[in-house]
Amino acid sequence: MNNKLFISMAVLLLLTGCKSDERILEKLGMVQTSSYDLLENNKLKVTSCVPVIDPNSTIRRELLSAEVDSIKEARLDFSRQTDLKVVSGQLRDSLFGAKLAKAGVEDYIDTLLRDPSIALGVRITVVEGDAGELLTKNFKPHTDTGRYITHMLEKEAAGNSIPATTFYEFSRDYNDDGIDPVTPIVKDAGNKVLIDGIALFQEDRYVTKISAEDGIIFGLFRDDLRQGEIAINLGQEDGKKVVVMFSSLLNKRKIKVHHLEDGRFKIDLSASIQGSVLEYTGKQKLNEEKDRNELEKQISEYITARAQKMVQQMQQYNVDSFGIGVHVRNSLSYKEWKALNWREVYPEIEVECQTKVTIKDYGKYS
Amino acid sequence: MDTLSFLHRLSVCLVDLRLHDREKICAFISDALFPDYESDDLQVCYGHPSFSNTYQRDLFDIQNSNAFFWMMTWMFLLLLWFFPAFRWERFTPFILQGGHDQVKGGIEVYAAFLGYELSILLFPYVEKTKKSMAAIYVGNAMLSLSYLCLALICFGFFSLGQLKRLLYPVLDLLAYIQLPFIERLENLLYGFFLFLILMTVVMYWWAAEEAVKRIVPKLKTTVLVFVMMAVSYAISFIPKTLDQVNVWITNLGYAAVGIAFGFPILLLIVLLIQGKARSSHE
Repeated sequence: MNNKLFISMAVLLLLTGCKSDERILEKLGMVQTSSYDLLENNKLKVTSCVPVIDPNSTIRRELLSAEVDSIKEARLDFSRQTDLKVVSGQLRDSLFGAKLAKAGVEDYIDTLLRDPSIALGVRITVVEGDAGELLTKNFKPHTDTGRYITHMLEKEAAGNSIPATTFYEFSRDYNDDGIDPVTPIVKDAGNKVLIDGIALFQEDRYVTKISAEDGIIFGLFRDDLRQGEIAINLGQEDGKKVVVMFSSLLNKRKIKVHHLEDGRFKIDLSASIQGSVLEYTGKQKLNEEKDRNELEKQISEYITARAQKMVQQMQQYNVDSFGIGVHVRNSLSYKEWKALNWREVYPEIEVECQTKVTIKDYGKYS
Repeated sequence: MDTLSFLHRLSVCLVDLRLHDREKICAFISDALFPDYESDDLQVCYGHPSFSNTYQRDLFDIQNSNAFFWMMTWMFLLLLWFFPAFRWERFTPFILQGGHDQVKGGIEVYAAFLGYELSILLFPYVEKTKKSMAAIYVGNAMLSLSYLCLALICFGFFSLGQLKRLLYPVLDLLAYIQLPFIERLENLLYGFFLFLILMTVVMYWWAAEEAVKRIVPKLKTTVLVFVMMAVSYAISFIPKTLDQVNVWITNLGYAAVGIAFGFPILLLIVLLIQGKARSSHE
């Protein structure tokens, strides 16, 4: 018995080895949001936001900023500015300035993914303008701009009006052939932060964007959705605006690849959407099937037209954000796909968008 | 007052029941899943694919393996988390294309299935019934199934290019899970993997002990085990970098594959020679 006690005491002594790895919560500066900007002199401006835990303090966050050559160098710089040990395990959002995003984010994503303390769930967001300035600015009543942006994006991504873009999605689409990554864009709108749209990347470079209003239509054609809302403006009837609010969307996206005889491809991009009508200001009677079918047709025409325009824009800038290439790849043999330069072929292919709309219900009023 | 005391008694009963019947419930569940095998059989053999004996209780603590079994199997449920992001499109129809040396890769992968060769050493301890052999098969089948599930999820969740760049995809899989009350589960769950490694290590140490005991029969078992553990611990200090560790693992894997195939063949040859010698004597 004594022997056992002795051994367990000796084993306990091993725990002293953990002293060097000690982390005390109050002494940690847990970075929640970081922003990265490319400066004129080709230096990198890193701004990090650390929440202040002290309940007696009126200031809710501490901002650290450094002009450096690399991301991790910034952390060394930060620890010379603060009494806290700066750690990145609680990072939630990384904001990239538009200039940096246009120059390419590969190296920075690589650094962040390499660090085992950073999870795959960290968001990537492009900021129109200077990301550091946006993060530094205070937006009342929000005490912490970083968290404000993160929560807003989280909520919007849940409603599918912008894509959820974490390191996982970004590096998945970036490393796959036949699809390009996308991220949301935010911008400073005076007294609010505004979601500005969706940034379309070519490889790791931000090339073009689509507006926030088209975000949900983009979502419908990028993936299957289980939630979402869309407001559709159907023009005017007797000088009155006709708007349909289509909600609780359920969407099934399909891509069909046709091989034409001369070796070209024709793509059928189709979305089959179900949803309920929450608002309708037109003349059709929603409880009559014929009218409802007419309305469904109008909605589908509207969505198809917008999607077709979006595809045109993507082909013009040569970004395959819908992931058409993935399906073309899967329809080819390995040799054929390797021989094909998708970037060259993509802008020329014929893409036809189709939308099938079903109104499931129309509220509790006929 | 009466109701209270009743409730109290009921709760005590329930707690009692839970404690006592925990094993029964475990047994019931595995019986329901695999009616042909005794629950202990299954749990032990899953704890280590090659280990399958209910009869040699002093060899291994059945209770522990019970706990280890459930400690591992519940983690299968975590795979459900990846279904929403899972896409068949990412599999690509290119089967066995663009790789390197498939034979070499095959042997490297094969090392992950090793362990069954230890069952050779179990023969003296096991009653020669069909059931004990079947338990070995079930153990290996469950291991294969878990690898298969993990591989399928990895291919559908990560893209191929991403998978090529990830050094530890399972770690990244676990890091992706975010429960409302806890995040970064991988740090916690990797602790569970240590138990599995512990079981494997103990089995191999036991096998080594069995073998060395034959070579040096005079040595006391406790001394032998201590020396063996000290030696294997010391060896772990030789490789300094992660790449070196990988080289060691690969080479030891080759050796183990060699043993797994060579050992039975060697035994058969010995048996043949023995048989010949015997028949020529007669």
